[in-house]
Amino acid sequence: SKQKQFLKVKRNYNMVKEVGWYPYEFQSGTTVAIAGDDYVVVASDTRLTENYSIQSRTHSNVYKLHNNSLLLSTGFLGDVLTLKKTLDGRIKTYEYTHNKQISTPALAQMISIMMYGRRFFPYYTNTVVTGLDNEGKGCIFAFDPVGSMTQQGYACEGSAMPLILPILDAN
Amino acid sequence: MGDDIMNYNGGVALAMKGKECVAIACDKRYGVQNRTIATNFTKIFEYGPHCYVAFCGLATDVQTVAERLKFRTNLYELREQRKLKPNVLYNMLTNLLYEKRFGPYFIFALVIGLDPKTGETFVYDSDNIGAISDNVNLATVGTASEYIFGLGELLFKPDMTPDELFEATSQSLLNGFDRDSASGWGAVVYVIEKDKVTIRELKARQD
Repeated sequence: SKQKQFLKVKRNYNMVKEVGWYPYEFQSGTTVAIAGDDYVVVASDTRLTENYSIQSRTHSNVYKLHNNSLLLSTGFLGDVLTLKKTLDGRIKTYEYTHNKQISTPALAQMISIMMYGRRFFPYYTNTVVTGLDNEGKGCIFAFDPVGSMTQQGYACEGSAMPLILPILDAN
Repeated sequence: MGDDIMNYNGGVALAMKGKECVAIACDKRYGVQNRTIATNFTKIFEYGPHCYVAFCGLATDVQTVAERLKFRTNLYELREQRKLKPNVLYNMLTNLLYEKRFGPYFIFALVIGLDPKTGETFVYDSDNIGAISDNVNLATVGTASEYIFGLGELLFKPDMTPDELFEATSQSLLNGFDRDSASGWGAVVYVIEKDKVTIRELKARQD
């Protein structure tokens, strides 16, 4: 009957008004690295924030990896620490299976593949890995959050990146 | 949403102070998102022998505010029978912008000036609803403002001569906007001293 047809119409008024929980947090921090003939200089600030609150004044963004490369990583601290932990494990595995320390360029390739492995739930970090390459020259590899890798003579990542990068470009 | 409007046309401007001289510089790009339409759109306007203003943001508002401010300054000069001072110009501009507090113009402004008798220098910047700033050493507005700020802070020294000021301003501007796709295509630098204004066009990466 006509009444029954009228009652069949359903309207869906479910609208998402706000996101309940967001998996990432931007915790600021800036890192800079410059490569030379047989060295790399790296620098980092030591502030860790959550919105406008300061969570730590003594948190460095430079991490020493098991093979004596340096990992510079800013963004979401949870992902930064997990990345470092996972990397340390993979570096040790490499040492045990290949009977030598992983070189920085090989490590960079490994990081790139690892990060792209999480393409659909990325590590929310801007990472840079630095060290000496096989010939002893300083090398810097910079990654985006899904592992796009570029080798650079200098790198700058983090919240003050727009301010510092042109200074490195000019010199 | 607000951020997209400010990046719609692109553009950047920088102002710096020296010893009895001030410099203001801007790029010349006029674009619509990622398309460049013209490369002769300067964003600096003159309101007096030693008063200049730069506007960056939505191009239609750049032109409208420039013209509306000119209207007000013309009337001021007719009524008062004298030329504007930089701080008067600045107050007039912030008043104009605050009138549109709940439906604002999408521009950020820089006002610079020099008092020809005393050599006192003025550099002010304003947000799009007319927030008043102090008389600062260095100010930037536009899509590449953060890039230019870094170099500007590094290259700024107190009491620079006009030539040093020109060098510092040009280097900050050029290296800064090279990192921004919405600014560039040439630059213009105005150096204002007590007795003259020097306008120089810079050769920059044409992209």
